[in-house]
Amino acid sequence: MNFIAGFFQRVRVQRRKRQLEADMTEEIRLHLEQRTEEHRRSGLSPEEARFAALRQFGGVDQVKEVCRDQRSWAWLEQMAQHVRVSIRLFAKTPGFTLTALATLALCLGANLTIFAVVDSILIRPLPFPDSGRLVTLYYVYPKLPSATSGASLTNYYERRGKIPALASLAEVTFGTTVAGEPGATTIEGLGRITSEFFATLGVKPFLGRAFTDAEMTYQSDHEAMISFEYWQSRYAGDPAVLGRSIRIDGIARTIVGVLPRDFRFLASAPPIYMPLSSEEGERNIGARHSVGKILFGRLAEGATRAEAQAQIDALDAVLAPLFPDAKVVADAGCRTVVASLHDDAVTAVRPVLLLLQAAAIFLLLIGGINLTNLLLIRASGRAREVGIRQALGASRGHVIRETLTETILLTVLGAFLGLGVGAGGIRLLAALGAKQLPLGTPIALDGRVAMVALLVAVVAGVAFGLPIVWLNLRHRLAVALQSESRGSTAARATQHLRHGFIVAQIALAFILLTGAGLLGLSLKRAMAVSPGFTAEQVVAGQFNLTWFGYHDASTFGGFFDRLLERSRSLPGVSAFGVVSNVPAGGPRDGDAVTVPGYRPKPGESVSVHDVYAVAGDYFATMEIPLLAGRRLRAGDSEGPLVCVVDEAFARHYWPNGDAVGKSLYRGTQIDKDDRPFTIVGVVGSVKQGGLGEGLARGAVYFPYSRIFFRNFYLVARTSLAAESIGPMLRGLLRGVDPDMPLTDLRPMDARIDDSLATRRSPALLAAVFALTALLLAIIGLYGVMAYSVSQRSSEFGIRMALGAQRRDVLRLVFGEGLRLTLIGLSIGVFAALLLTDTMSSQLFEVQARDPRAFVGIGLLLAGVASIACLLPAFRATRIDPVVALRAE
Amino acid sequence: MPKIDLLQGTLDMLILRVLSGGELHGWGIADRIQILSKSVLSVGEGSLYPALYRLQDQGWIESEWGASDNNRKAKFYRLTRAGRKQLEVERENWLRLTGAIAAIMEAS
Repeated sequence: MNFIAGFFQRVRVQRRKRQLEADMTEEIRLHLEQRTEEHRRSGLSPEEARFAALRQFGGVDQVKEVCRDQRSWAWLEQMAQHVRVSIRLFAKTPGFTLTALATLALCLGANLTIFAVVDSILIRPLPFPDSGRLVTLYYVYPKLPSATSGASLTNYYERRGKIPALASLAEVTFGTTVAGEPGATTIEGLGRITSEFFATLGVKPFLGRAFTDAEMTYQSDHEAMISFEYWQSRYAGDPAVLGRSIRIDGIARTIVGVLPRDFRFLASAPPIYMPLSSEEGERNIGARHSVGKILFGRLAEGATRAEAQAQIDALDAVLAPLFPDAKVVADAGCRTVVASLHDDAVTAVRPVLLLLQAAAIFLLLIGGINLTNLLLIRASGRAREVGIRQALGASRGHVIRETLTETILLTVLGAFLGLGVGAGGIRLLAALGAKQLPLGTPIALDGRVAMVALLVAVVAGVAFGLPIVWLNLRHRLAVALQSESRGSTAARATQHLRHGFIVAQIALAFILLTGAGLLGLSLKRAMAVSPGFTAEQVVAGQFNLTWFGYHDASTFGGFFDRLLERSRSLPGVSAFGVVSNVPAGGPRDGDAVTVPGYRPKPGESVSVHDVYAVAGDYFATMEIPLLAGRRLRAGDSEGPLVCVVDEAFARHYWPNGDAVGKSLYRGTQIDKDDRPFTIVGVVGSVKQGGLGEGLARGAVYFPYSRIFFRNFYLVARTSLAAESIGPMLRGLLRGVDPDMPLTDLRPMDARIDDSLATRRSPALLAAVFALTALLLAIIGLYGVMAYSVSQRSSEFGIRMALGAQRRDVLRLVFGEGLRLTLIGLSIGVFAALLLTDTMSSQLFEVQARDPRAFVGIGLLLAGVASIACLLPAFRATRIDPVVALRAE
Repeated sequence: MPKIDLLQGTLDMLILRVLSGGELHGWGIADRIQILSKSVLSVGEGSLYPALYRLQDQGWIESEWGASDNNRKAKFYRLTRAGRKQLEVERENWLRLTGAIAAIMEAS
């Protein structure tokens, strides 16, 4: 029957429901009358005839109930009925209802929050058409001591059009630029892209056009594209923006296109795009391993990633021997990886997200067990009622449906509240740094997540209902009706079930607490690491030297001379310096160096080190200790080539000797004309990548004039507050160059702090989950023990009447609780030993089976559990035997 | 002769078959099944009514209050056109099923 007809049928049925009910009763009555009449005629007494008719017929009420079920839509009526009854029951026990809903809202909310993140990052495809075909290609050098990977401009020009499996190829690099009119410049994010960047992604500009191949040189790159948001905020959405001029790094360029709304490439959404212009020297074979860009392509129709990989490998095999330092590259194990763009973007965050999702699921399990326990206790109290109803004709199906309606109603209500908690949780995540995640789409609780929530709620409702169904159906009617449930086998079975739940809860809580504890320990270790400098009272801000204004040694030198000269008159600043990258300052400049006379150990490849340009009193400002020799000074920008190295570098090349006075060359290729740098000093190593960083890779500091970097940070040691030092430093820079903005001005300790966000946020979330889990588990343990004491009060009364001392009763109850806790702990330790290994990658200087974490968490859990058992145990000792036995 | 309980699902077919002979009330249907099966099949009279309600809901039979032979009030059931078709379908299925089972049971 189709739906509309069914609906009208239902309306009619509703209207005629009474009529039908009366009809049915009448019909059965007449049937029995007829049969009674027949039996009487065969000679039975009226009484006997009536009983014979009834025997022949069976249970009248049961038959009626089955008849009612035969009507279509009967289930809907029944469900509405069940829902009404459930709501009435919930309203009657507000304490239970609120506890259950709060537990559900909390546990489901935590899961939804994390799931929304997992969904938007790991599950949803990137927001580009047919994005599964997007692949990224990059070199890896597995044998280098420090992980290095990336693609070069040369890769792009050598491979474009040569790989049949790739329909198109594009390259991109992200940085910053100074944009705006003189006097009103700002530093903005900049994407530099090749011509097919948008075509490869399958994205069309909202207005205008993308760049062309002809625009990829410094002589011809007069164009720019802007993001939709920048267009709205700076140009008020002016439709005539195309053709207008925009000053980028001091050069006027023409806006040729506007991007679609919300366009982002993985984690990057810069407002300005320019051609990835280059000159011959940056594209040729010598620059092949200057890797620092993102190369990606779209697989051709029908082509697979394996085919692309094979074709790239074949091309690499031809090209590799032509590289001047082919042996160095080969020793480093260099090869090209072709990976899915999406997978590659989320590789770093996948383990931590899955870890948090697992923690949230554990929390849900513990909360679910609590709820099941509560529901079971409630159901035990109603066992008699259910037994009577079954005796009066309620079928098994009816009882099952009624129970499941109740639990599903509860979990679905909980899921709606959980959505509210989840919405709050997502806001909290934003505060914890979720924006730094490589988002495909923004994190949001949308219909999709809500559907998952509803689905989980229904599944959870069934899961919570099953033990109660089991309890209800297990109760033998006679037993339920004749005796109190105490002492009956069903009561004993449910008690075993409750004890099993307690064991499971303790075990789950232990695993969760151990995981959180290990993360916390890692965070503590990372925070205890000395950064290698004194971050307090140092502020740092970023500025760019544009190519337009500063393209030769004299303009460079003039700028720094004037800057350092003026800095001396800054009040309240005790030391001032400039560096190309501060610790925890983001992407770092790496370069290989050649140390004459150094013989690599067997199997060792060329090393990449951090390379810095410095000016002024950088080391003094940061209080980086001088270990040997001298620091760089003003005169070093001219005259003999000198540099300073850090301790890790010195120890790598001269494990036993003194590095001062030794020499090194930049790069791996040394021409006849190249002159070496003389090392004049050794300074302490700093944690360039932030506190969580592992091995230091060695650093070389050059005078600013020897290495043409364009991005710099000025650093000042000052006791002044940030509000007063900020304008002073901005004024200093504008005083030297009115077009030069200072951005990202922040205290160094805040930067160091932020570098721990990737550790702190997961550790914090895991701690919140774990403590909530601990609380729930303890409440569960307490609840079961207290319930068991109240159930057994007459037993304790008898024991005491027969001579048991109070401490015997105490030992009995407390011992039982402790036994459950210890079983749970043993299982938890065993499971944790198996599980924590999976989180090794997230730990810092902490073993996955750190005995202190295991023992500490075990003691904590055992201690709290003891308290939860002691309270009911004490209550048991205060039972008055006389009162307890009278209550029978 | 011992009585045999009805096979699951065959009661509906038997009711349709009995009603194909004309309209009949509840206990009449029970009596007729017993007579036609030469008292081999026993129909739990209680289980007859859910089946009648089910068939009615599916539109295969319809009912009307009337008076029985001995002038008692009774509800009479009769086959609808859809019910007649359904009976044919079930008869065919039944013959195929019993034929198949017989073939297996008699195979050596």
